[in-house]
Amino acid sequence: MDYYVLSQIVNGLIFGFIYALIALGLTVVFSIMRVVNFSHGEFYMLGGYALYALTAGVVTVFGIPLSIPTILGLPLAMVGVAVFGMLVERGLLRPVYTARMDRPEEYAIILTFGLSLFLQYGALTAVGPYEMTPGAFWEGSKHVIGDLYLAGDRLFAAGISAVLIGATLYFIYGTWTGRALMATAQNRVGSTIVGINTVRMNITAMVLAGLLAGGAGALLAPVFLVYPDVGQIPVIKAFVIIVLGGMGSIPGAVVAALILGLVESLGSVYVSVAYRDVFAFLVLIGVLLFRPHGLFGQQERRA
Amino acid sequence: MLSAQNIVAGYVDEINILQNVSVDVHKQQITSVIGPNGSGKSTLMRVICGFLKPKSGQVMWDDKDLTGRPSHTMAGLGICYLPQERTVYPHLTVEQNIHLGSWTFRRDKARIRDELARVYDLFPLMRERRKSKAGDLSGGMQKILEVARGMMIRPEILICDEPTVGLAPIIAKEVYDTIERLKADGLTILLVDQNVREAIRIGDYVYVLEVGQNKVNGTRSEFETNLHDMIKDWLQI
Amino acid sequence: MVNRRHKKLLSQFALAAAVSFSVSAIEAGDTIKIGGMAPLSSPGSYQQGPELVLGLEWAVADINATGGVLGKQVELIVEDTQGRPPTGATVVEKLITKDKVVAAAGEYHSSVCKAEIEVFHQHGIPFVIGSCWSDSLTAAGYDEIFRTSVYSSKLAENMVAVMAANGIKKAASLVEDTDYGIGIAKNIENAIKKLNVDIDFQYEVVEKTSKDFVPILLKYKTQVKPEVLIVAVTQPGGFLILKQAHEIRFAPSKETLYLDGTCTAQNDKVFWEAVKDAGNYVLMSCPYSPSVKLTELGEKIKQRYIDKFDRQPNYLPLQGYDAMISLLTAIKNAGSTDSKAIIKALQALKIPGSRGDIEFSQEDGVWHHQWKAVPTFIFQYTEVGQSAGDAAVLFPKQFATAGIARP
Repeated sequence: MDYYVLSQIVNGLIFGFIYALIALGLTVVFSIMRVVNFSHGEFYMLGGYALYALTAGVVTVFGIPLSIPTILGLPLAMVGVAVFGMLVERGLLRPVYTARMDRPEEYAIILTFGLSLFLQYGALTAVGPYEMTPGAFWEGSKHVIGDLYLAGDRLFAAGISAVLIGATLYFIYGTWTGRALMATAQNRVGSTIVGINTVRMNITAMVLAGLLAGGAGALLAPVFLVYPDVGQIPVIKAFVIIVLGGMGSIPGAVVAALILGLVESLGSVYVSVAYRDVFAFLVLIGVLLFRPHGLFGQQERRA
Repeated sequence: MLSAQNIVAGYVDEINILQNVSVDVHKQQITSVIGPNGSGKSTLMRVICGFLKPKSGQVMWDDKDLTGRPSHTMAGLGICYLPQERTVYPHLTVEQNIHLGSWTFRRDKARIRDELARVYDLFPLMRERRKSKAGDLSGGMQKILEVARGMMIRPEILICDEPTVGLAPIIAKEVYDTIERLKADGLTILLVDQNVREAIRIGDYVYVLEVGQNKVNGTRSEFETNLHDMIKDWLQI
Repeated sequence: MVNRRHKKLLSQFALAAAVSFSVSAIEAGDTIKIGGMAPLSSPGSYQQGPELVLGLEWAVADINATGGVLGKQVELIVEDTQGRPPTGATVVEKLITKDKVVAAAGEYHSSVCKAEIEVFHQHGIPFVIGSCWSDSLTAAGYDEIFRTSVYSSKLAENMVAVMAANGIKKAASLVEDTDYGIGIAKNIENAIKKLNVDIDFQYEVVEKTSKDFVPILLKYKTQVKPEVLIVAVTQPGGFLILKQAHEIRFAPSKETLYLDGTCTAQNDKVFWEAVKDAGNYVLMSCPYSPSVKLTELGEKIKQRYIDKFDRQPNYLPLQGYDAMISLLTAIKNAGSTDSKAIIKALQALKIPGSRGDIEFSQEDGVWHHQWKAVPTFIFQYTEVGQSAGDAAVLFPKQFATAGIARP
């Protein structure tokens, strides 16, 4: 295998990690709350703007322009979006779930769809239509392999994505709260009766989604810019990934994201770059033909 | 003693499923609640366990007022509720399911280990199947798993809503045997059942509900001698 | 909380919003109604639309300040086409049948223009295209359609001329999946044949919504090795391609030049903010270069823009102004709002515009009702953060200030 092919594979995998980070939060919220969060792309957007606001020196607090180092801006942006996620749960979604109405999921979906539009137009009005680039995490482009050079920022984003994905998997599979999340996803009543506060699990899911999507948005802003509808394409990819991986399956989402990154990278040079964004759907259709529940999906077993 | 007094409850404003029901559950006894479909048995259990807030009335557990308390706090009070629907986590293993039963004392590793060993001793079948996915178990085994998971907290009271519905008779018998065995170990049990004969056979005290109201109640012996008269209105035997 | 620069952006956006939703205060009935179309919201290019509308507005305001046309004030009715062809067709239908506009000017997306000219043609209402570059629009040969903006084949010929003059033998291109992008690629192919130059040219169509262009850029860098990479993708895709070409050390470099055919530097503050040091040595093909003197009228518009926004204008307000001033002058000359009379007057028109004397060719094909002499430029940045006014002009020859620079 020559360096060229290897370079394409490496670039594809790097992108796969980034996709996984975006998809994880979506799949967690879906599996816990049964809500397809259409505003997930705007969580991603907010992460980018938050990093920009904190680091670029354009926002002033008490007369002092904010320009903290990007590396500190990242966790702050993540926390900021997580808090926003919490407010969305409290202010928009919880009232729907406690109002004892038929099919709360459908109302919730419409709400998140509205929120998505609101945030996009809000950003348009508040900061304008222009693309912005926050400062770099890792300046310059770095030699990766063969002829492949990539931006330090892109490598940093992939590396931190891998770390955050690892941390999320540990959190889900290695901690009590994570196990309670899984239990809640699989049976809400069954979780309540052992003493799990499922409302708190909803909050946890939204906070986790905020951390991950906000983190992805902030990490990628120096590479892919930030503008009002920046989250639209990533979130569509994330939808494809979670269906491909099996709705609600966390390892499925990670594997599907890596596959998608690879397929897009190789497909766009060996088939045609014009159909780059179509490959996602082709893979999806192909997989669903043979595995209707996705790669890691399990058939719902409900009494 | 668990005591629900003068409960009025329903899911919508205009309709009251329970229209003044009272039930007392004495310690270390099996109290059975029977009644036709729609009599409000399950609703009563949901009210007791905090899943539905009553419009009026009071639920007391010893000297603690449970009325309107959130349902997830019941486990911490030693109350184990087994609703009618399945509540296992289908994609987790039997052991992971039982393990989650220790949520309320999750920081106490030693206790978790001890309770797990005790529950496995109580339900040796669960130990055998501990690596199986809960969703792969048969219906009856899933019910036993729910009981086993509930036993992790060493509950003082077990509230069972139609535990044998949909099970084959031979498996249903196993479930009833389990309930009786738990009673013998000192557990207080509130049982709701459609299976009138079994409910009366194992119950120390029996309540009959009808359209959201207390119809009759009495000890097992009263029911055994006088069953036909007491429930003839709704039971075509 | 927001600094001065952002306030500027904000005020501009607010202005666009105000333009798009306000109804003129002038009493209906004694006004001459003119339609204006532009993308003002997603998925249209909502950055560019408002700039174009600004030009339309200023032309109307100037005419009204001198007494309007035919003794009446001009009322401009602006509609948002969202960059969607069906929306374009719908709003034009509405402007003609409901608002009873006598003519229209504007629009930015070629694909939307394509839908719109059919409606204008059907109703016989004249339309001066503001900034749709596809050749096919004038080539359709409709009597009602005029264009004051540049067009794709002219841009392509300029690019090919610059390549030939600099001895470039191999060029590769990425173009967006729209009428505009594919049109540029086809026109470069045609121009190479027409000018009979020896350039090996290939292109790939990319989706302008993609985020990662590294795979195809890597293929170009290691397998194709062109001397110049020509990109015809609007932003943000255009910005991303530039950033990523720089990221993988492909272009602009000693070996490979980078020629931006879309003029993504139309707002140079935004350009540098987005691409940072990737933008150095980029060649820009633009319908306007701030370093080249405009006409007297053009300089006035430029100053007005600088006064208002504290930065250099791009080509869009100028194109908007030219389209509208041509249309309004023609109505004046026609002495009537009759469509046929306006069309006749447009055909005979010769007026000073912001960038030269505007007149419409009567030839067939792409030049049909096209302002043939519309100026275009290719300039090159030679410093990070350089303003377009300071960039070196490479084309056309009479304005050239330097040759191509390489890193």
